[in-house]
Amino acid sequence: MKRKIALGLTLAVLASGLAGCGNAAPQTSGTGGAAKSEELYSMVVFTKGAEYFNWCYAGMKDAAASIGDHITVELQGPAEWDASLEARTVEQVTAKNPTGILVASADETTLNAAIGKALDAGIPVIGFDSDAAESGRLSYVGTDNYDFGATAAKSMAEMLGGEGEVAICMVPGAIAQEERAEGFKNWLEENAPDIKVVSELNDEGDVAKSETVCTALLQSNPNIKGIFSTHGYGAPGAAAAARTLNMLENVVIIGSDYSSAVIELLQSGDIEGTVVDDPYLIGYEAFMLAYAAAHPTAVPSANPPFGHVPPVIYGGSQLLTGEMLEDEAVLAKYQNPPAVN
Amino acid sequence: MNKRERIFSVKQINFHYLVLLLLILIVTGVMAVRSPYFLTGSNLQVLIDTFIMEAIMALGMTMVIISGGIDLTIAGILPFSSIVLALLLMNKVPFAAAVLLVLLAAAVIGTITNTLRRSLHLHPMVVTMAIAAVLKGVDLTITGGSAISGLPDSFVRLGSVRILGMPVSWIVYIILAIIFLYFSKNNRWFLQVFFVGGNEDAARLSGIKVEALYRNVYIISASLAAVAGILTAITYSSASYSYGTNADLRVITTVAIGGTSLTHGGSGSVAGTLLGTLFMAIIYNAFVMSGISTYYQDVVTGAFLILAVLLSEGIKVLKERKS
Repeated sequence: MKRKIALGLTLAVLASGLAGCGNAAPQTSGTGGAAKSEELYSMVVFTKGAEYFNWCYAGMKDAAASIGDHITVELQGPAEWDASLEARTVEQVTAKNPTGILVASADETTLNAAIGKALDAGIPVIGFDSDAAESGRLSYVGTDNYDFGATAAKSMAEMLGGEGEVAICMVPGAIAQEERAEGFKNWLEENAPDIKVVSELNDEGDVAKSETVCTALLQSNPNIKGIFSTHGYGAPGAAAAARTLNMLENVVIIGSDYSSAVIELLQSGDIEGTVVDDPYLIGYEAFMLAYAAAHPTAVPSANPPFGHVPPVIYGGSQLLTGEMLEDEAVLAKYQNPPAVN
Repeated sequence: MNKRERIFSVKQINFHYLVLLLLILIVTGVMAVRSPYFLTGSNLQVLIDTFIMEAIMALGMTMVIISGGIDLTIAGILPFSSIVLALLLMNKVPFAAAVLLVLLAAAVIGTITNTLRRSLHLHPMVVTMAIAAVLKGVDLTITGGSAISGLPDSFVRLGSVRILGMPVSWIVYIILAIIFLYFSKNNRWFLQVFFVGGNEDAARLSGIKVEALYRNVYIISASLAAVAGILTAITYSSASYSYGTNADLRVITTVAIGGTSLTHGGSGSVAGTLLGTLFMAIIYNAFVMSGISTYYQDVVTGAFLILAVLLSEGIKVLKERKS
């Protein structure tokens, strides 16, 4: 009797699980038109579920919708930051023979072989956000991190009136952050030489660590007028340090990216700004490039048999301030990221 | 064990296998209908490649769990091994020597794990979790978060080696699976693991060197995780602290789905693990092939794990009640 129950339960769960498959939503949308053959585009990311990538996917969905409803898109990838798992996902997606693949790589090398195999199978691959530059991917859509750092530098210079001592909080070794720090320093050297970067701190990408190193920084050097964090967790840590030392009025804090903690601090004025890039646009353009690569024109491109794509597209960055968040529409965008199932 | 009990226990295992086989057939059938690409050669290759590392580690984990313990260090040993191998190769250490050194390091870690477990009287879950955390911290410190690349060409070429059309990782797995399967039925030491896991005191009283057995079990599991780490480095020509994240959960789920009991030692089988491995590989491939949402994936995996545990424990209760 118990065996039958167990067997029955098993089959019931299985059946419902697979029935769920039937409703699972590769998204299709868009206006009708002449019957075109179905196309599938897969976006492969790491840390699937991360808000940033959900924005990229939202951009991809809208771009696909604007082309036609014969296009299906899907989001794949491991929930963890494991480059080997992501490489395997790319291989699995390749076995489905999609029309195009968009990939944000967990690191710069592990996915190279998998991307190469997809390209060899005739599937265009477009890199976005985190690049695998030597994989042979046809193009890359992302943020120009030097420019990102320069945006922060420009804002810092304006807020400080062109002079003072500043520090950078970052994770050394993370390429995007190294580039942002580089861009920050170079802009200051060329345009505001009276602002000196006196310290570069390793906060390990963690808000508690950031608070610790910023406290030590501010205590040892009360002349610090500004702190720039190259990642999303540094600004809240710096703000906490400045608050404890009663130095919030004297220190301009500019962060990178955003989170609900950062939004709150922007609204309260504890941090003066955060540089944000445009993941929605990045996802949108990455899809457009994949589509272009999958539809060559009569004029041969630089990457035959694929279609014409530029080598790189940058999505731009801007400073987000508390003032901008007073606009309901802007606030809504940052507080309500898209949900992806 | 009298004849009736032996038949019953055979029936118990067979029923679990039957259910697993049935599930495998059902999922395969459904996927074959839903997607024209599921039963293609390239997808079947990918299906195996996706789960081959977990498959290798599941063999060692089976023995650990049968002995009454558990090994969470594998999620730390896998990336650690890939990183140490890469660093040795980049420092011109010959390949064979580098591999041996990595395996030796893993054996040392396994020994340390067991020593801590025994001397501190800590549950293996606690000890192995702590060691995994330490290893992951070491990995991050050594690599600074970036992947190691620029490995020697001769090593990179290994990734493309095919023997009988199969990559090195498949060959290694086939050999290990055959060894484990055969030994689990015929080798005295393997059979002792069952005994110790079932009743440690009785085993000790009957003269089995229980402490040495525990140590060896953890050494084997650690070594297989190192093998997986080495093969991962070969497959991707790269080493990173991110490899193997949450592999411990996937491996333990595999072993549990195969019928090895997580709650009582001494009960389980390598054959069950092989079936569990096949099942997990198919399910993970089916997830991507069908495009179902990640959230459903976790629910489905968890549900199957619960069912597998209920099945094996439920049958045990049934057996105890009857005898």
